[in-house]
Amino acid sequence: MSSRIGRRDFLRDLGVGTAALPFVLNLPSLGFANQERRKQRLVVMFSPNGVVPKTFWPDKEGDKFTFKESLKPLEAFRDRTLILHGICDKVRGDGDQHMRGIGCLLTGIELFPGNVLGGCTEHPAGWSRGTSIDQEIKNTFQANPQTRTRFGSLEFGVMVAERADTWTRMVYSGPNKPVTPINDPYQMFAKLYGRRKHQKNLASVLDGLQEDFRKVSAVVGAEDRKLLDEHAAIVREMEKELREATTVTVGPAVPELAPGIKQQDDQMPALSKLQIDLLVNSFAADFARVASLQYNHSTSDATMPWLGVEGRHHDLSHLPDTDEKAQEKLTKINVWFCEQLAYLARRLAETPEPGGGGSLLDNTLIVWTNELGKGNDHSHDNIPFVLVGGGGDFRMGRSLKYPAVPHNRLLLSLAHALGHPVKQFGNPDYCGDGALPGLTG
Amino acid sequence: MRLPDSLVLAQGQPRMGRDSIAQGAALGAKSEYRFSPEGARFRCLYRGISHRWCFALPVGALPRANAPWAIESRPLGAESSTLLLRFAVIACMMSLALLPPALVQAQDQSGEQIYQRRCAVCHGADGDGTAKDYPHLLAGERSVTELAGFIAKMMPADAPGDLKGPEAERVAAYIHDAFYSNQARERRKPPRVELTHLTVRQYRLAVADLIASFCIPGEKVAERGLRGHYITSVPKAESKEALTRLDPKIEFDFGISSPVPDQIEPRDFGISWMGLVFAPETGEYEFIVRTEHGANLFLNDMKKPFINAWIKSGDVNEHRATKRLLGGRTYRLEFHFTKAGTGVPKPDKEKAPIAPASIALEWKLPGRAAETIPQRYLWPIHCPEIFVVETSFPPDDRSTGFERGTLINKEWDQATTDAAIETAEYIRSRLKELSGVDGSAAEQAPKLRDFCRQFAERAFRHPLTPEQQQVYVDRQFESTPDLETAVERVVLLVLKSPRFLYHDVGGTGNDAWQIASRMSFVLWDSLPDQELLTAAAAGQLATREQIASQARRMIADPRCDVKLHEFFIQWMKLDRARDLAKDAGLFPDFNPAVASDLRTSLELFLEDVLQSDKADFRQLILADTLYLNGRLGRIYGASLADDAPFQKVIVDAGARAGVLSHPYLMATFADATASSPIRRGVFLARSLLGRTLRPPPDSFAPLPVSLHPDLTTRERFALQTNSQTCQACHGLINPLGFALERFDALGRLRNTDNAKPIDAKGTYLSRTGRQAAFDGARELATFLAGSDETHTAFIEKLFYYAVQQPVRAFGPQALPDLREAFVRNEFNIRKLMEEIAVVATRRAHGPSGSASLPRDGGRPVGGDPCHLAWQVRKILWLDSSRSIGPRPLPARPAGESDSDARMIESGVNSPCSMKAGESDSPATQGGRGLSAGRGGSSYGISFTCRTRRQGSIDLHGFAVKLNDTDTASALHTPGLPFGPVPSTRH
Repeated sequence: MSSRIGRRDFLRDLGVGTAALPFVLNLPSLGFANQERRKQRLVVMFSPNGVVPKTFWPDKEGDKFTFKESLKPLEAFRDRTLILHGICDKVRGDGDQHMRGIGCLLTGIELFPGNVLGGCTEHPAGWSRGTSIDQEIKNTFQANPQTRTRFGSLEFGVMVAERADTWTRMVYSGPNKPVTPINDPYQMFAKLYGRRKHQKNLASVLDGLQEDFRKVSAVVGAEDRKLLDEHAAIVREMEKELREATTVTVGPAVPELAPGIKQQDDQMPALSKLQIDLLVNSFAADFARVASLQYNHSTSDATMPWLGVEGRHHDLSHLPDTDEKAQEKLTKINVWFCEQLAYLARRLAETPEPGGGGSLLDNTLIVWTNELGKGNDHSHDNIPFVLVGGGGDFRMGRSLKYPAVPHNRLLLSLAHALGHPVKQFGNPDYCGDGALPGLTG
Repeated sequence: MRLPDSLVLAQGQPRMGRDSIAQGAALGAKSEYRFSPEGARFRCLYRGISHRWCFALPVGALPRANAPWAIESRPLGAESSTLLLRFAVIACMMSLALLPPALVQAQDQSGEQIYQRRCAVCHGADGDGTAKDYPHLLAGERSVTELAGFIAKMMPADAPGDLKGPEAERVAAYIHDAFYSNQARERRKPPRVELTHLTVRQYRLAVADLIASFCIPGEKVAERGLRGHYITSVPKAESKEALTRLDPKIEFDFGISSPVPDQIEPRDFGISWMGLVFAPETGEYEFIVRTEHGANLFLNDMKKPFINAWIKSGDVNEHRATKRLLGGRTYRLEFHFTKAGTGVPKPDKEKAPIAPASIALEWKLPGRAAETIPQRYLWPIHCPEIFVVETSFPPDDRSTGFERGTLINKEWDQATTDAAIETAEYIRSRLKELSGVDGSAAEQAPKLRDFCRQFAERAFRHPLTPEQQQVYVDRQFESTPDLETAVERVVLLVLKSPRFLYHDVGGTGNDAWQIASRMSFVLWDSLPDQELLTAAAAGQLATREQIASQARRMIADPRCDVKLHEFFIQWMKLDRARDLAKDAGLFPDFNPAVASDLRTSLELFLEDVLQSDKADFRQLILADTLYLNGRLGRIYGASLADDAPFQKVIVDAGARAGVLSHPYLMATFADATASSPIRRGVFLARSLLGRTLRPPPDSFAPLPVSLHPDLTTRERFALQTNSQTCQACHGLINPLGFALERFDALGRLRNTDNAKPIDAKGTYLSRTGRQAAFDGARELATFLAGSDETHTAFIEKLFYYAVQQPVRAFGPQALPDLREAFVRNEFNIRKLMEEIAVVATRRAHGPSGSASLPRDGGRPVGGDPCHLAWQVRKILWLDSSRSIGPRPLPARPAGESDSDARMIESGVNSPCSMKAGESDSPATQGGRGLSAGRGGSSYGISFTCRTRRQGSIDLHGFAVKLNDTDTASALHTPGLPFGPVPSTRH
């Protein structure tokens, strides 16, 4: 395992060279021009600890279904929603249900054995053995100049525990390579727009710098002055480029972030909003076409006081079905997550697609999922998969029920829908008959 | 005295002189200079300020090609580009009467005249070429004889053969001497202290030290190793520390047992090692953690693990990460190990068998094999974080042998921008720690301004003037209400400023801050430390002894060790010899580990010599010992145990000679299958003897052994290079390299090559024409250790490396003085560094045009040809609106009338030292003058300059006198072009 920790990647993203100017100013990337295929985007949204099936799954199949309580917030997007029941995570191996739940969710392959001891298994696990589907699709996009973007993908987190272990990581850029989501919207902002800030700062000091050059130049001899003059000319050139760049006003405005929001449970609503706003902005600016939005992590014991829910999420999820109060609380929690999904869908729907007709939502597929089907039995059956948006050529506005198919087949469907027609993904044993039928039909 | 009427105004290339005049000793120090004895006529040429200053007295008609002599200087003052100072030429021409009749008769046939008549039309008056006919410099390596032969045969192009033998010879001698040869070219453009920017190395070190200057410095400690804390069952709450001890290195195999059997359960335990790691050189370090359990390595940054292997996953037992470290600095290190795993503890874990445990912390130094981090680089204490700029820079110019900051391009400028942003980000992220500023916004603002002022002053190595404070700090704080943004802007502006990026432009002349800055860059490649700044502030860098004493302190610092170490690596050309590999069939014992060990062996030897009290240069090439370990011992014939650590041994008694025969160098300067007398000879010629060698006209592969199976290596190389063309260089190279033929491709001693006895006889023809002969490495080493040429080359190279300026730019006396001191100090390399620091620091002039000259008992430091013109320059100082030195120019009343025109001059403490010993005091106005003497008779030359104001225009008057007689004068009005200067005849 090899890694390079440094500021180099950061700097490459941050560079303020002219090559970076389209990015800096949110100019449309080159992909805008002459694109043959419409722009497609993927967001994977995660919430933990399972759902309450009876308040989640619609009874009917097809387009005549009724939203139950947990999914009610999606009512406004009924036509653009696809609810998939009967998708099961069949991947087994080392690690407990939560670990495998999140670690195999997007990778479709087992965890390595390791030293992370789960609560209900004798077999400690390490990281996943594979790449997650979002990174797979990102790599496909990045390999093609038509779909390449500055970041490729962005990993947003909302109150994901600040510890790196199998329970907290969903996205993998490769075997044993978990990707850390960015919890802090200010950090994400710096990643997205830091360069712009530096451009602005740079532009503001250039007058002083030119003055400085003139003064210093005046005290050196003629032969040496040549060197300084050459240098000053380069600085002037930079100034000119900056000036030209700052007069161009294409692309969405840089969002203003409400300041001072802390990383704590009761701030989750505010954090969630900031992260979603940044995500939508980054799509509008075409910084990336793949994103993940991870709420908490598997086994999260977050408290949600703003919902009037007492107790911790994971604890509540362990209580039996007969505990009606717990079921109510868990439903409330999932309603809140669904509201976040709806807010994301609304923001995307409100934002026009730059350089094309329609909205961002028309070209974005959101996949909301969970590491468990149900919390108290830690089941990997009926993993929630709720899809919203027109990014995937799927026929939306339906509720579908599958006969306990492995989730690898849905991962294949996602890859296919986003232009990456692979035959297998994750553990081939679970890829069976290939992509799921009936999604596009 | 009668002055002839042929006053010629010259405009064009400055003419550079030779003879004793150009040696300059007469000019600066002894204040005496001569006209060439053959001088029949000479011109006085004075070039404008915006160009190079030149005060030249070329000799026109000479019986032999005799270059004119000249004194030249860079412009020195703070002349403003806004003020038009484009002097063209003010010149006066003087001719002397009483020419020797013979010389007059010889005139028609002088080489110069022939050249000007027949050649200049294509080649230009000074061999610079002409756009149409021959747009090239007339320059090359041919000898006069070769040149004459060529001219007689081929020239002039329109009438070959026109120039008969003697004429061709004369013109060949003239051009060879005037501009064709290397020496002539150098004379025409003598080395000067050029403006340079920080090299990449200096940039990184300076930024790191700049930020570190706001941290509490780490302590020093004699102990080596890391402090290990052994903890029972982590990470449980009830875990406790069972043992603390100093571990010399991290390389443990506990198996299934416990590190502290009576106190710690072998099933699960944890260890935390604390301390720091010292980076012996600058470069990319790879760190390697090996364990079958969990481990976390924090390096430098304590907030984020550098290697996070806390989660054990799969069969990955090795974790690597790379980081750039700056040499001579220490980096805090914490290394945590857990055997307990993480997650939910199992109450019934006793059922499972105990897993074996091992842990190791290794590193891979630049160009070396991986090894457990040795004890000598681990210290059991803490140190502050070091900021290492990660931005990639384009490499520095190394065309002159060592890195030098003279390349300016967009890529470099972009890198300085990116690095400034990177630094600003870093400072912002640690603003509280660095600035110590906390509290309310109202309290923060003034404190942060103060922090920024200090930041700028340390970066510029100079206090800020109120005006600079306004530009660099106050204005940024006024530009934004956000304090952190203001700080970022200050950082950007300061790090982009030429005052930070360039050497020697921050201050005025030789003020104490400039001296401090030069010292620290010469000795450390970085900014002055607090102690040096304190000395500067207290005026304790004024005398030679004060500077020398600071230099001694700084040379004892690890930062200087690193700088010296890097010099030797470059001197031995090892910086480009990264992967040392040999033919596996011929040398099965040789592998990367051996190559790495050899490098270590060489490093240990270097350290041994440099750290010894004597630090004797000669020991580098004379020592008869080698550092070997068990692995090397087997190959190089020392009877050591297989696992023996490095130790000093004597092998091949009487045959080894320091680095000259060190197996690492011998193997590096060899091919994969055989020794290479050429590569060894080139190393000896260039690095040891300082000879310049042109690259071969074509690239050649060594003759294959199979082609001449019965020849020795020596014979093969001799055969390949025996042509006349090759011998021009190989006549020098081969006989040097042959002396090392007793060492094979691995640097092992041998007595036969290809079943014939080794012939290790070699020769060297010195620059003065003395032939030296030697047989084998030791005789070669003895010759080199005692050779002036070796000493001179070493001084020149070390000087250039340290200062990034040629030693000869510091006056003709600098090199002889250094050589004398080197000998006097018994070739002590550290003392030489001290002398270099003094010479380079107390310079007479620099790019910023210092106007005050540090003095030693009235003797100007750096008495060089520039000095005269420098003096002239001061006298002729024209821009009265600015100060060029620490002392302001005398204020001039506005609207001063012609009648009370006054001399404007600066450098009040530097009365002209240009009086010829025998000459009369030159008549001058305002008491400033220059004089020249010739043999028994002497001529005084004096310059005076007057400035007067007419309305709003400054008029600069300039007069030259020869022997008290007005010969020329000129009046210059800014904004008007110069024409020929009306000369005055007498």
